[in-house]
Amino acid sequence: MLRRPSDIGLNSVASHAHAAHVAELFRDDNRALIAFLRCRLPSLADAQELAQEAFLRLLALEHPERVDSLRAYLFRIATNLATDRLRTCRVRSDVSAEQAAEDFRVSSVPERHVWGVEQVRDLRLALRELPAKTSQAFVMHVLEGWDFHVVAHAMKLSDRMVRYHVANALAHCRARIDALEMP
Amino acid sequence: MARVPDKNTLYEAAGWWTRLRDSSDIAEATEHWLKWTREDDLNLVAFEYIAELASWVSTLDDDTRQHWASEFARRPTSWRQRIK
Repeated sequence: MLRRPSDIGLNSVASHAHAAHVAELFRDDNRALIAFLRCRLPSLADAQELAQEAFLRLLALEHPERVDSLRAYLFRIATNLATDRLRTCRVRSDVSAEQAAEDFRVSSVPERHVWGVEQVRDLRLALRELPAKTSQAFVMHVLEGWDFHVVAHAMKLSDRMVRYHVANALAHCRARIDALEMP
Repeated sequence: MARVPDKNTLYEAAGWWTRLRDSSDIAEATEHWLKWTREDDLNLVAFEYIAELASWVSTLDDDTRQHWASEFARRPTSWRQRIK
């Protein structure tokens, strides 16, 4: 169907407005989106790549006016992309320790770490300071990659308690490693 | 000098990390998490710290993985078969 010149003009204005909105989202939320993706993916490079892909898909939306919240939609796209990525590749075979170390070197986080032998030692010390269940939940979920419900079954705990232990372990270990590295 | 997250913020960030990885309503969790990240710039920094640590741990080499699994995650040898 032929469109009238006025329709084309309106479409062009709407398209520019959408692009401007996406640009604003990128400015405000790109860092958060990468962090969000990073808690699902082991590699910073993967998180950055999928964040970019999510923005491109948002930009290519044919009818953005039909979406209630572009921000919510952006994070939904990113969640789906991360799920697909994890489905198609096994995490541990896809990312090497070298890649992870490289991630830390290029990270934008202010207090950067070069993770190596000393950090492995510090982390082990930090884990030994924790209650047995806390370090066990951490190792099973974060190190071995078992889902929360699998860990919960094995430890005879609720999923909620496993999450609680894992969160405590992460925060404790991060704080201890930072403290040990202070000059 | 750049501000760094305190221990309480790290605990909050770690709580969000676990919630975002395992939420039945990821949309609602994400919305609340975004609000939290905007309350203070250090909240997102703390979350990035936690996510970095978790990423690094998940890619430790097999030797370390095996040592730590036996040291911290003691369980019957047939455990994996039983839960599947």
